[in-house]
Parts: sequence; structure tokens; C-alpha cells
Amino acid sequence: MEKTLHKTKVSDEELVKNYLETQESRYFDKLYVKYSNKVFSKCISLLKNEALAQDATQDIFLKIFLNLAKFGGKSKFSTWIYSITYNYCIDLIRKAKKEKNIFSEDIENAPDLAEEVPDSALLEIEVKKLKIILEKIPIGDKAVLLMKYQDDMSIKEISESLEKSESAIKMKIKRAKHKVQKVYKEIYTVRDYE
Amino acid sequence: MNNFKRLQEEELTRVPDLGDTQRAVRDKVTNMRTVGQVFELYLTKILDLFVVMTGGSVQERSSNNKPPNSGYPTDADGDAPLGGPSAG
Repeated sequence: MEKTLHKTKVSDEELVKNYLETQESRYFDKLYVKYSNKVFSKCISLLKNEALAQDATQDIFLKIFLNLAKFGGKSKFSTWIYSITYNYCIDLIRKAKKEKNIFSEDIENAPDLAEEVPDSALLEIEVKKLKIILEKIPIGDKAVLLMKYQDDMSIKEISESLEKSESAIKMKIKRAKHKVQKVYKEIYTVRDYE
Repeated sequence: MNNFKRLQEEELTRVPDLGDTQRAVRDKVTNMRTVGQVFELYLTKILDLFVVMTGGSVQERSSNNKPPNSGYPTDADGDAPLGGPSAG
């Protein structure tokens, strides 16, 4: 087993299986090393506070390892971990803001956005500008955009993760893209003409 | 690679050392597992205590769960105290 772990690439699912069977910390360490930085980076991106992000990372990994047996392998392990991360952070923000639901905007009452912002328009925004824009849009919008474009989660996976219908998630993404475009225009188009 | 992923790559370069967090999580998982094992080990005793506290009889409950050939002498008439060797 030692040989397998060090010499060949072991899949996440195998590491999970091995950890559950043996409870050996080296499997835990492998998974932790692989994902802790990404989990932390998502936490700091959503929570915007390093100390909070560190505490959140600890709590999230605790949650992950205590619920590892519940990982059914239906989705990728990374998707499962990121779902837990987003939900944890959103929950934390929701509690801090005392909001009932960060995704509570009523989809039916939302203005109909006939035109879809093309993905290319979003993905071509400079990294530096993108970072600033993402800070300015609501956290729920930011989360769905990160899930889709950063973590390559499908609409189905996002909807399962956030416990929303697929059509609600599609609408949420559509509206989030419009907000990005609006903020971009507000900040950069005006400035570019100055 | 799209710019969302580039943004993540950039953010990953600024992640602090998370070694302490790793140790804390590992220790907590180990502790919780140990507590769980101890709890599991003494679960029947805790349940017995709960039954007694609520006015039930531990002996009756134990007799139902007593496995066959548990090593205790049996009374053909069923009068012997259950769940342990007869006192008399």
C-alpha cells in the first residue's frame, strides 16, 4: 500500500476508501494537502477575513472527515468538498447578516433578462478587474459564478449542492452574469473614456 | 484556462501555511473517533442506566438480548434471576 501511495497516482476515491478502511492519518494528510489550499482560498474569497477563513477551513475539513462515509462517489470528490465549502461559507454569512436565505431573491419576480451575456464576455475580463468586480456583486451571485466557471460544476451539481431547482440556478447564473457586466461597465467603461 | 481559474491560481499563491489547521483537524477527528468508540463500548450500560432512571427493569431488557450459550447457568422453569448467575 505504501508503494501504491507514493509511486503511483492514487485517485481521491481510492484515498477516501483507504482512509475509511484503515483510518490511517497518511490518507487524511494526502487529501488535506491536496484540497486545503483551495478550500481556504474559497473561504477567504467569500468571507474576506483571513482568521475567519482559517477557522472555516478547519471546520470544513472536520465536517468532511466526519462525513466521509456519506460520500457516495456520485459526484467527483472535489465537487463534494467544494459544495460543503460553499454551503458552509454561505451559511456563515447568512447567520452574520441574519438573512434568511442568501439566494432568497424571488426568481419569479425578477425582471426578465431576455439577452444572455455570452460566456466569452465574462471569461475575457482581465483577472485583476474580475477580482474587483466579484467583490462588488452579491455573495450568492459570486458563489454560483465560481461554482460554474472556476470549479466546472454542472447546473445539476450546483442545484443539488444549493438545494435549488435547475431552472432557478440557470436564472441565478444569468442574472449574476448581467450584474458582472453592469458593474464592469460602471467601473471600467466610464474610466476608460476619462 | 479561463480567467476565473487564473484568479484562483493567483489567490492560491497567497494562501498561508495551513499546517496548524491540519494538525488541529487530525487531532479532533482522532479524539472524536475515540469518544465514539468509548461511547459505543458503553452504550448498552448507558441504555441500562437510562432504563433504570425511567423506572424500567434492566434485567428484563438484558434477558431479551442475552445471546444463547452465554455461559450462565439456566433454569428450566425460568425462575432464576436473568442476566447473570443465580444468587441462590
